[in-house]
Amino acid sequence: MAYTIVGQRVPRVDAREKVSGRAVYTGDMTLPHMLVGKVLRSPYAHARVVRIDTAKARSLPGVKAVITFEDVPKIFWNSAGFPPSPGAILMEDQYILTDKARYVGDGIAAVAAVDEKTAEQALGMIEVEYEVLPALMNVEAAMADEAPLIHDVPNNIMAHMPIVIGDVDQGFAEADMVFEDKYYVPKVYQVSMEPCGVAMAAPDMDGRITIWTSTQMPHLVRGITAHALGLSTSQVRIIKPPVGGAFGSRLGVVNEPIAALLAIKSGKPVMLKYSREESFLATESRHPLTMILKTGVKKDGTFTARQMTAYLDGGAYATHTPSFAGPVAGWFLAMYKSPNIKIDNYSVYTNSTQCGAFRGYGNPQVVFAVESQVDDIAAALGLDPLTIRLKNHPCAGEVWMWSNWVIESCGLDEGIKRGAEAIGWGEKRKKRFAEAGENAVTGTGTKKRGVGMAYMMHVSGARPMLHETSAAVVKINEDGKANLIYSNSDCGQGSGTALTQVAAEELGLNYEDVFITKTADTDVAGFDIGSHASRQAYSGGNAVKKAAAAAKEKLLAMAAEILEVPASDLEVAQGMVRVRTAPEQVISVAEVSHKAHFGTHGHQIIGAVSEEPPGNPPVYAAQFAEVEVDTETGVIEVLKVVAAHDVGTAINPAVVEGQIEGAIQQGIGYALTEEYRYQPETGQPLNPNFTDYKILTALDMPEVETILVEASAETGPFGAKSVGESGLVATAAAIANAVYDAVGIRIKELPLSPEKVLAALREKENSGNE
Amino acid sequence: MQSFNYYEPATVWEAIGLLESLKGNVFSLAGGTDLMRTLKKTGFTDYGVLNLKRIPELGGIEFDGQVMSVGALTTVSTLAAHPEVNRHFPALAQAARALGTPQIRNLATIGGNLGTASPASDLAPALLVYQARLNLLGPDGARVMAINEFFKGPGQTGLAPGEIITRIDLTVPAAGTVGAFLKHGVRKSHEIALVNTAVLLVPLRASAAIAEARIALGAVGPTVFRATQAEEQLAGAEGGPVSFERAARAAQEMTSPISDVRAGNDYRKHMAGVLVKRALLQAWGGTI
Ligand SMILES: Cc1cc2nc3c(=O)[nH]c(=O)nc-3n(C[C@H](O)[C@H](O)[C@H](O)COP(=O)(O)OP(=O)(O)OC[C@H]3O[C@@H](n4cnc5c(N)ncnc54)[C@H](O)[C@@H]3O)c2cc1C
Repeated sequence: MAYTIVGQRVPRVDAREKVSGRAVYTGDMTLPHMLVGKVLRSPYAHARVVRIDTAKARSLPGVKAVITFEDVPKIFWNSAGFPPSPGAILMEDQYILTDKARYVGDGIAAVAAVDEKTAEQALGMIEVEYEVLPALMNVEAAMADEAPLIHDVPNNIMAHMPIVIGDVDQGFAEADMVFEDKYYVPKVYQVSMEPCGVAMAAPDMDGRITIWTSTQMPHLVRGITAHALGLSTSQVRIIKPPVGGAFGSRLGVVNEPIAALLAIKSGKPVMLKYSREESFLATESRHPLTMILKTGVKKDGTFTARQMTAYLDGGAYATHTPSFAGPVAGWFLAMYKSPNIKIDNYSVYTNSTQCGAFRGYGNPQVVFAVESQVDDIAAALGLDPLTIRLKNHPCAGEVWMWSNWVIESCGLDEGIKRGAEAIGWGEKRKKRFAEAGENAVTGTGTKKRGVGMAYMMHVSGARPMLHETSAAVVKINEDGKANLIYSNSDCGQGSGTALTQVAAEELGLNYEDVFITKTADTDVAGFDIGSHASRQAYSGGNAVKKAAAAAKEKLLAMAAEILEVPASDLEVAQGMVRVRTAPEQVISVAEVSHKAHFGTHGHQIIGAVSEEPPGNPPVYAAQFAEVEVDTETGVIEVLKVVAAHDVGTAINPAVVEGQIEGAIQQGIGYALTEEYRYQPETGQPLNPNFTDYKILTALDMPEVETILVEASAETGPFGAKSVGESGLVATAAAIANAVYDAVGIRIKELPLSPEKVLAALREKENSGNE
Repeated sequence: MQSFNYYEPATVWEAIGLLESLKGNVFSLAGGTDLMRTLKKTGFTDYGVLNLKRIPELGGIEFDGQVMSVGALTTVSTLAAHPEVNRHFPALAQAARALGTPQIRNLATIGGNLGTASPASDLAPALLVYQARLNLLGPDGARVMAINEFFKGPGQTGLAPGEIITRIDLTVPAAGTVGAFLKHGVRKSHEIALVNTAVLLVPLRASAAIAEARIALGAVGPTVFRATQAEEQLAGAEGGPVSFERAARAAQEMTSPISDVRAGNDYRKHMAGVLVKRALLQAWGGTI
């Protein structure tokens, strides 16, 4: 099916304002009498507040509010931005400020003052006496019988999620070979360009409060913030200006309740802007996971049993973790077919900063483990890594275990084929452990090259685990141009552009003539879940397309009246309504709309829809990496990444490629350099800054080749599925597998640091299996 | 941010007058890439800030064909691009290119790099092998200090209170001298060295032997330092993989790295050897 606007590389709706620096982000805003908020953070990972004295801070001139645990509503809440749904396990275990610090950086008090300097000075004048408790910095320490309790749950285990399908014992008994391996992936941060945690709250005279916040989910944040403050939902109004990147970090409440409470107490607008260091210290990251995988296979590569026991280090508060255990199970369960599967996920509290959402939502963790092991299995069985994947992945028409729904379309086989070609799989895999030779810059003989691959599946929304409601209103103005009123939670991914294209395509208007609400406002737009689970194109697109269709139907009815033909004979394109069989009979949308407004029955043509999308079609990707390992320094250089992604219809291929390339930068960081670390005894963060938390620079990026396989989904708007998260899911595993191909070492812990590489090379040399 | 006293002298004499009257209770500001970070973290206490950037005597590069006089305010990006620096002091130019990011290099100065006295400084190893002479000026007058006497510990220098570096003098090495700088980190840019090294080899005329070797290392001890034992091993030796490997080991022996969030001490020590060997080979023109 050929479209005119869908599939085009139109410029993004927010491109001009962003590249010119004109976009006004929350942190750029100001209001008359605005105060500056600051948070006093615990210097200890685990400690009880024995005494707190704010008298001196309160008496400092310019200080307008000081709040502590004493002042916060005694209402437990959970920061995760989930709609109440079957898959949302929302353990409420936090207050706006605490009297028991559970990580270094936990909020103990907050101040609002006339300026930053005064606010900082006031923080220094708050006296706090702590009783320091032992810091539990990993799941083993936290689950130990003698460990102190972080919250009141036995062994600090917040939840255990068991899943049993078939009988794994029988499956292992039937296997020719059984593989058992333990994998660990560390805590990593989203590090969006705009630091996480920027909110400006302004109370009004009628008991309502408006919060401008850099968020992914205006409506859900409205509900949680209202609950935490003891208000009803409609008393809070959330406005989401442009957001400088999110990647999951803003998937729920961040610091909105603190800003709001300071604003309520002071009666003035309060800006609460976290520094980069505070974003590291006090906002949610990717979960560290320990995963024990046991897999039984037949000689031909058929899986007889698959088992995973995973420990999810959730950090200091529950937030996402017990719910997050669901997708973690889902990714594992649904990746490969097997009659017997067993999963045990343990969600554990530790004294690190609470973990939440980060692009991929558990999938990069699971795929690193699964795809590392599958690579080993292929090697042990003498199978091509491509073959074992092609043999075992779920296909179109089969039930996908993640959702228990039938898979609509699958572009993986084509992706594997084209990706393998692009990386030179056939030739390069033959040269196992070959010298880099003439290509190596120094020709030193210490550099070895290899290629590896990994595959993944991901979602287009979170149904049926979570509700996926979206709402859209399309109104056609007197001049024939349209507004798309939508709770636009675009945080940089380009969804606002894609949705504009969907609306324009469906309406038959030019792209330039449809204006999406760039700012989301919960007082204006209908209820929408927000940006999560790569849902905007599919779920948002569904509502937008239907709202546009509803408006179009009314438009054609009006045009039919004017042209005196049946509406079914009409079509609309590029802003003109034509009689299909007599194209010279034409009237502009502008004229029709003008007649609607000011003709006999004055009305505006409006289409409105609020609903959940029909499904959740999975996407597939195969990523290939070529690496060069320096055996003397342990440094891994990624030379090339080929990313073959089945995204369904690419509504805007430039946006899709941008999503994949950007994600690969994060995926390579996950593979090689990124790890947020704590001093193991005290729980002091060791690298809450960009000097030592190492995200890759432009110079570190390899060549990236993106291949789009557009296996369209019937239920998707114009066939779209998703792309937001999937770009980084398979990257680390592909790189780890390429390292194995290059030098024959298998490292089961990310990141693949030079020190780990050298240690593994030495171990390999000592065991003599060259 | 606290308030603080700010001074902006227009001449070097005005600066010295201020430094004298303030009795050294002032931070000298050049590019600010180190100082502002420190001040934001630790506060200004009772100190003020004295901006050196308006003082013309501290800027510019002068070269008479034999001695190069580099003003303390010379930025790292200027060093990196300067044709004469690249020609006569290639290890310094390479070090300048390896420092920080383009934005940092445009602000950071050579004087500030020395003043910070970071054990991981990228310019210091190169300045050590070129035997830079530092011209100092303070309340007690002017003096010249050899660079190998300058670094006393992490963040500690031989500067007297209120004393500043005005210019750095470098003498062009003997004809045929070769040099190289290598830096090791996990990223290609915006990286603090896990180890770095500058080497300089003066060949014995018309032979494959080395008359003099100078090797300096950074980030593997409390200060950057010259690996004198390795240098001695190479003096009179024939250049090549065997002698370089031996020298690299001797250099490695002289390191005393710490373990921190960036790397373990074992890895740093290992890499010191690898890097010295590679730098010697690169300078000499061989392959590893
Ligand atoms: C992001 C980032 C990356 C960096 N990367 C690197 C790197 O890769 N390699 C590296 O070596 N450094 C690096 N640095 C550190 C810093 O940029 C350099 O040390 C730089 O050369 C400092 O110069 P400056 O002019 O900015 O010094 P300033 O910050 O102005 O001053 C630094 C210190 O020197 C003193 N000082 C300045 N001028 C004089 C003078 N003329 N006489 C006496 N004392 C003086 C100051 O009082 C202060 O104590 C990095 C810094 C940042 C922020």
